[in-house]
Amino acid sequence: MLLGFITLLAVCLAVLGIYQSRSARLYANRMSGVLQMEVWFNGKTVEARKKAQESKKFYPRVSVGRYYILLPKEYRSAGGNADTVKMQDVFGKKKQAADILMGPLLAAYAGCYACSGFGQDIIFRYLTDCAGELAGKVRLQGMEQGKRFRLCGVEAMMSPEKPFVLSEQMDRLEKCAIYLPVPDGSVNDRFSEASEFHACGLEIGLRYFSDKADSGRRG
Amino acid sequence: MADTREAYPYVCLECGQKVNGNERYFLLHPLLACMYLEMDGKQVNVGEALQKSFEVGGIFGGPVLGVEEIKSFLWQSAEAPPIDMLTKIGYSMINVVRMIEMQLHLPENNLMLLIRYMVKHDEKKTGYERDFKTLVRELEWRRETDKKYVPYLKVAQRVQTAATPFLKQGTLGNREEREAVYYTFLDTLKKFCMADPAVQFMGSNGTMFEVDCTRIRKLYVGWIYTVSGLSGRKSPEKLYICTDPNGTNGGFECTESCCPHCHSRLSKVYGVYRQVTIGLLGGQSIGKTTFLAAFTDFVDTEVSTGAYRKLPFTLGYERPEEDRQWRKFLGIEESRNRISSPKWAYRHGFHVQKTDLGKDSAASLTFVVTPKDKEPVIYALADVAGEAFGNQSHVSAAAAAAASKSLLRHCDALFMGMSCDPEDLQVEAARYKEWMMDFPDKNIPAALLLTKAEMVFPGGNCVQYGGAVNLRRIQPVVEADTADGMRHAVYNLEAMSSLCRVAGECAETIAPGILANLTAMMREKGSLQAAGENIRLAVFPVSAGTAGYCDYYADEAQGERKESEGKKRYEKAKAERFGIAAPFLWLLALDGILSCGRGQDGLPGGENAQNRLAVLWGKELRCPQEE
Repeated sequence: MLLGFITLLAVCLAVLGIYQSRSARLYANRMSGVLQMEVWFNGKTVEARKKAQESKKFYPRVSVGRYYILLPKEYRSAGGNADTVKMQDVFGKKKQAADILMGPLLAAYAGCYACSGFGQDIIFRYLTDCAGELAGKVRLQGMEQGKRFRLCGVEAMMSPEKPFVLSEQMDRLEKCAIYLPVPDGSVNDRFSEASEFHACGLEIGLRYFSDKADSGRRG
Repeated sequence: MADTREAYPYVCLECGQKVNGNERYFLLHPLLACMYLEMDGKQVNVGEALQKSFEVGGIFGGPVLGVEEIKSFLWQSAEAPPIDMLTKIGYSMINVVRMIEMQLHLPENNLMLLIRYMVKHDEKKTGYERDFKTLVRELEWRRETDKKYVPYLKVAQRVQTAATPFLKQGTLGNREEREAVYYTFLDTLKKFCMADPAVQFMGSNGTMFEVDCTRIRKLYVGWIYTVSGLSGRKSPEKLYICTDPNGTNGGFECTESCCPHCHSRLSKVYGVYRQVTIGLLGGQSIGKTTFLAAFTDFVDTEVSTGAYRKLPFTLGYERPEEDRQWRKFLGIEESRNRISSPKWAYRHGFHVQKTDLGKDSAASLTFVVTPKDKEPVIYALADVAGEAFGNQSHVSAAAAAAASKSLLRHCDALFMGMSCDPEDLQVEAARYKEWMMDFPDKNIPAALLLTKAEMVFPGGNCVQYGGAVNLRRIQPVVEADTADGMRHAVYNLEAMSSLCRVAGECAETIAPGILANLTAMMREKGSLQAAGENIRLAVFPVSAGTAGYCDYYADEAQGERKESEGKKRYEKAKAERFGIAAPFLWLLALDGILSCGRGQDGLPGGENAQNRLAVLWGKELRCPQEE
């Protein structure tokens, strides 16, 4: 009888412990560090390659650049400068801690691109146009147990391609790569007219670094 | 001055030897110029006469005129130092000969033995004066019959071997000419010794000579060093000489300081500030000298424009007329043809002349970077001729190659050039590993410069950036708000690191596997622990804009040389060049002189996140490649 009670208590405690640690992990996974963001034109989609072969256009995969975007702990607004994007827009509402809206994030990326000496050039305009397209539709969610990102809102878009490419060896909120086809053809056309370069979408590599000093990789 | 420390060690850019602290070599001609001797009824200046064939000098703090203990002291006032601080020495020609012996590292009285032998010889056969050349011939001839002449001959050979490298000679120094200069030098010495009334050559009673103490001259000398206000390091300044015992007038100064190994003139800033030597190496005619010319032009013209105005340091070169390398480079040296000055050629729209290894015309330029409120740092960019690493049979070229190698061994950073021009592909690209064999095991930052980058990026347009980005618009520095509320220029880290990755892809297409090779090589050379983390390698596309330039002599062949067209070519190059300053600024960012950032107002985020960002940027700065 007593043995059974003790066993039950132990099980309860274990469950509680697991729950506690999980909630702690979920809390820790709220984004408050640095997000490394790298954008390529023409990511690795089969569809894009097929299109390219059909239209005999050359679609190379080209890196735009890698920028580090600081994620605020308490969703403060980041000044009133036109170049900086308000971080509270990027991170959605306060209650959805780990949600990232891809549109404003891409706009923040474009802001960084413009700040770092390139100015508001054709690539900047293309990025902001894409950001406008994505706004309010696509969200990035930290999944339960802090395992992986999940991309929401892409299903509504026209893409037979799997929109979410994830490098498999990464777990937790550390690294992922996303392919985002840009559905509005006029954006692409405007870009290719101005730059003689054909783009059909963006690949976005994200990598998250926590702001904890020791956390290269939390175990 | 309580906080007085020894001077910084520095690397002599001529011979590539590392020199420690205050070891410095001073030319002592003003000292010898105090000395007049009566010869044939005229007063002859010893210093002037000797200077024609030999440069007498002494190590700072060391013996002067054979007297070992000379006082050295700090003196920064413009007035002459008081007489009681100086050392009193008496001197005659014996002391001068002794000083030359010390300078040539000869045993004591070796040179004197020769001179005495000569004098005695002359005494025996009066009226018949012979020179040293015949004496040595005679000794060689007599050696066969009489063994007592063998020591004299040995001494003569030893002196000749020791003295020959330091003799002044013309540009075409063949053996006969060297010998002629050597014998003239010895003859001059002998004449002076005989003319000096204080020196008495004795007979064969054991002593070789005697000094008449009543006829000896007296001098007051002292080594003087100064302490730099910016770095607190003491640096050798001069030898002060006073001939007047009252100390009121008659002060002379020996101020020309030289490298103790190769005796070439040194800039005054050496040793005062920390020196960072950057080796610029690469194969033949890949545009190393052109890069240097473009960089100098950048420092002259562009560093005061745009975002560069807000740099937290000043970049320039100090007193180029005192530095032999700068004189060569800027064409200040009168004797040289002006086309051989790379800067003149660059400014006037001509190709820079090819660096000739034999004539040691490789330029090594010294730039002084002065951060605000901090100690200045010397950045020495050493251009090494591409042939330095080949197997050269030419003798003087081999010596120059040895100096180049020695220089590279003491480098603190490397700029490795690789040409994008498909016509001079790419024998040298794979040879960096071979070159690095001689290097010490230290991990130094290395930048791979893709010179002549306009070949890959036509018109500066970067195809890899979707044809929409022009490389001329990517500035290595941008203005940003810093923590102290001021607007400063910061190293445009993220854009530059993206550019480095793009350039790295280019380098891979030109020479497949070069980056992997270089990384592996540096990993080998780096320290054993965590070597992979600390490798600092970046790739920069560099274009000096000289695609439209023409050859000087080709232009001449067309008849009248048009100055205005050269100017036009230069203006075009100035507008078209890109990436000239980026590698240098990258090094400054690595050294912490230039902070990193992105042109943006105060970044949001907590302190932890900021620190994290700093760590990430540091990684980006060192190694832009994805692991």
